[in-house]
Amino acid sequence: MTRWPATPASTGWLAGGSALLAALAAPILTGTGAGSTLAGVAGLLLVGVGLARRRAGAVSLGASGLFAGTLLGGVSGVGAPSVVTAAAATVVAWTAGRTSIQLRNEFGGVVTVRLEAVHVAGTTVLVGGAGALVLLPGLAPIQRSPLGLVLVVVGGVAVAAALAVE
Amino acid sequence: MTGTPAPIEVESGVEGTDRWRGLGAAAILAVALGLVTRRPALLLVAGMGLALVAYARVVAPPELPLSLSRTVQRPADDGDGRIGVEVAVEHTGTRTIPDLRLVDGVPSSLSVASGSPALATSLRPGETVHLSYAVEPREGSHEFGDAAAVARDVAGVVERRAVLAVDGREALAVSEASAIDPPAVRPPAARFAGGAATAPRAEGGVAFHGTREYRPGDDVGRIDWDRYARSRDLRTVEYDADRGTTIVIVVDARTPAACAPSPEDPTAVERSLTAAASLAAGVSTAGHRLGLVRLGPDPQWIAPSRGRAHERRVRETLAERPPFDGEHSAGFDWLTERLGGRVDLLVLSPLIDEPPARSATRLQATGTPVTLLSPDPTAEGTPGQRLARIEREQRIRSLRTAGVAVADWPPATAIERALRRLEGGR
Repeated sequence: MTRWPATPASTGWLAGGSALLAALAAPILTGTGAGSTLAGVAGLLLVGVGLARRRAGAVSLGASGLFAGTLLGGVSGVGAPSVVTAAAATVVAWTAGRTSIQLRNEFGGVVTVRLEAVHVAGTTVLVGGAGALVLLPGLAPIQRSPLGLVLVVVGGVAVAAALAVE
Repeated sequence: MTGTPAPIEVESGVEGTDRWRGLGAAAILAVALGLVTRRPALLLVAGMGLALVAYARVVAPPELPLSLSRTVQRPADDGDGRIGVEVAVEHTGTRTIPDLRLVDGVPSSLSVASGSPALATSLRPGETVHLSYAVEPREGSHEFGDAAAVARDVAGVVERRAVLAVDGREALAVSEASAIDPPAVRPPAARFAGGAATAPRAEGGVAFHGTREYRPGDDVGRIDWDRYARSRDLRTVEYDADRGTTIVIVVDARTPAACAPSPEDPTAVERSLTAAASLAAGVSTAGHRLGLVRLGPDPQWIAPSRGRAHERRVRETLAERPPFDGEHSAGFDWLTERLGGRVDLLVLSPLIDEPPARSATRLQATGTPVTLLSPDPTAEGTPGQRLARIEREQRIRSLRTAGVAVADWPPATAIERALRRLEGGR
């Protein structure tokens, strides 16, 4: 199969649009209280501004706001599926948003829609899979014990520390 | 994407993109907050974060099994003179590359005028994608470089960088030769009659010749309207320039012509190409229609025409150094097959063998005016070299006897001087 470049190019629009949609989903899912809603909306706005002005830093800051809103939603008692989905949407918004900016900065005028589609779909599947991985065990009818929880936490911290160290 | 592309420096290797930098810290934050507030949902968020960090640590970027080929296209005669470049990128591997970014090695001395030398796409096995762009021609020799490629995993957290060789043309030569007035090319009849040499006149500097009866198809701009207004007699103005304004420069670049008096000297082919570039500039400046033929391996035929794009195409062809040998090599028979209509031939050949002399004599005899500029490649070091020189001098005498104007061009002699001897009848 042979492909030729198509015109005109709207570099980064698909990834940017997907990032905005994902950023919108996070506060909707977890914005039950004033704090989580405020943090989520601020994060959404920052992501939008970052996309409009091609500022990767603003998108990362916006993703931090979305994540803060997600955590606050979790603290205020929002259900695990919503919190995990909001966190997943935050990662998608962060990743796709930065990809959009990078493509526009480095490949302006080049048709990149196929790369963006594969990237957004692939990232969504990957992050969704990770979310499903942590949610599915909760559906199993098992007895929870404080010792088990402590072991899981200690193990998680150990893994995080090992992965974070170069 | 236009303008001069930024220099690309890519070191081959694999490295992370830091796309998810901070994700591990966020996961630890979620764990801490979940423990303090006793919210299991936050622990699950942390678990998801850890899973993604683990993915980023273990995932390998796609390989880059790509085959690249570059094609450089000459500008069309009626185009804007830009040089088109096309690069075909074929995926020869077995796994899809979800994120492929590639930039062709555009010479840093050239600027991209349209299109883009870059692509960003995903590529399936067996698939070919093309990138095309055009560069503004600029005097000099320009070397294309390798292409820089980056492949990333689907989430873009790790990448593989590579510099890829591109098959196809690697150099682009554009020259601006100083113009030299072409020698006057005499019609055979005038020469045999001993008449004065008359150069074909340019359209821009035409001399009035007379008028004749109008014929259908005549240019409306050449109708003598004043006369028509006076007498209703429709007549067409004729200029001297109408007798012959098409000059075809023929460069003998056959393998036998690639000889020189010594290994340090330029070959006759190289001297001919250099002289042809100056003569072509002079022909164009004078307003004549210009054609070009390059004989030998990889023969070139550019039909007579005018215009900047045409002149640029001629310059580029003359700036190329033809291969010394090749499967398809054209001789003077190939030339005579392509000549049609009234043209004046300006042949550059060392006359080191018989075919050019034989063809020039035949063409002159059949009504095609021929002028020969012959770079002398002979030497006197050995008996064989002296014999070759004697044979060449004999050919030149025979050609002059047959009415062909021949300018013998010794080494280390300015071309203008050789042409002045021609004008002087020597």
